[in-house]
Amino acid sequence: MEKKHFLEEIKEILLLEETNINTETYIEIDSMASLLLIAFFDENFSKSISQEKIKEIKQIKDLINFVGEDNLE
Amino acid sequence: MGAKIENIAYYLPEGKLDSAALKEIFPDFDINKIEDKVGIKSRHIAGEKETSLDLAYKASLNVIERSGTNDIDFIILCTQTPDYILPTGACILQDRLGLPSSIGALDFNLGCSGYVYGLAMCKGFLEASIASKILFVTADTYTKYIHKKDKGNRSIFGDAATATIITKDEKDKLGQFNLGSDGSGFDKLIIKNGGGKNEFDEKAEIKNYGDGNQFTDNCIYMNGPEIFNFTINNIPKLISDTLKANKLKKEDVDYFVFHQANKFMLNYLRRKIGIPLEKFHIDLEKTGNTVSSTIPIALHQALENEKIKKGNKVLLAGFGVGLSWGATIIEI
Repeated sequence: MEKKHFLEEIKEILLLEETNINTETYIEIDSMASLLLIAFFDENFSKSISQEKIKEIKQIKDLINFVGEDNLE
Repeated sequence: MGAKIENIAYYLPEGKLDSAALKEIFPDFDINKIEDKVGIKSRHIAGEKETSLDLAYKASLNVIERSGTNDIDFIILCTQTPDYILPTGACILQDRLGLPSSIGALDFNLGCSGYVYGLAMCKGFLEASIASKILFVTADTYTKYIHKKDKGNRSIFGDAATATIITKDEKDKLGQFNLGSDGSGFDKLIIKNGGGKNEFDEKAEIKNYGDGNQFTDNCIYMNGPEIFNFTINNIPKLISDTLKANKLKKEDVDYFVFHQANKFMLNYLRRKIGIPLEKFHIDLEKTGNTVSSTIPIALHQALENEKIKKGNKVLLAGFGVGLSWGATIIEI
């Protein structure tokens, strides 16, 4: 997946209002967003993300590290 | 010799909690998100003195009236919110319904997979000639166990009861079952206190889910994301195994009725499994997640709306608390 597209999807899932988000942007993930993220990673990267792992995510870069930079073009 | 579903009815308590009422209680709550993503606009809530057995009784009267039957010889009640720890609710139901004391009655404790498990038991009792006409009831009042400040679960769960009459039939209309359990996930959906292990604690500590939702160990705790993970990792295989066990292909099934947990989860599962939208039931807008009652309510809705007709093959799948899951294919 293109990194640009990945960031757009994350922006929509987390309802981020900032126009420009980057790897350092801080994020909050509520229970509904958790479900959306789980589905997003399962569908696009065949990766299962646990609730514990979701709780550790603080910034966009944590999400990128989870899928692996190599999986983003 | 086989078994078939002869009739289904349900009962919803009069009390309601709709989006407007939720918004009044939780002004910051994004109600649109609940309506759009979760697919629920209103839920029925049992009255303060109204119990799961009261709902079970009314659903039973409804199905007895619909079917005009008076020769029930077994009652099976599926509930996780019984009136008493003991005795068995189904025994009390036998008396309240005025059924003869010569009939068998039992309860079992399962949630979202309960309807499929109940059908499996009914099939066994009927094929072994232990019974010939079974009243199978599902009834729960989860809302009595949700913390008042747990807006997440208050927006999801509703109370309900259903009653199904299952009889012997020349043709086997309850197909092969595929059942599963994983107790390692017992704490993903749980009421910790009030059973034999932990006493009900009047001074229980208030805990936070992390997004403003609160609960105590006396109340329902649900780890929604982990339940979702369990679902997407297990249910696609459950469906393919069930099709295989029934020697059918996905295309041979006329309609799919899954436990109505939430719209987003259902749609995701539908896409992942590859089921066309028109063959897939999603309707929890006015009832919410009613646990073991969602599948029979959905079957009733689909029959009323003529989405399914006599002779159709319908795949039923239930999954959740336990963790527990089950699926089968029935012929209408």
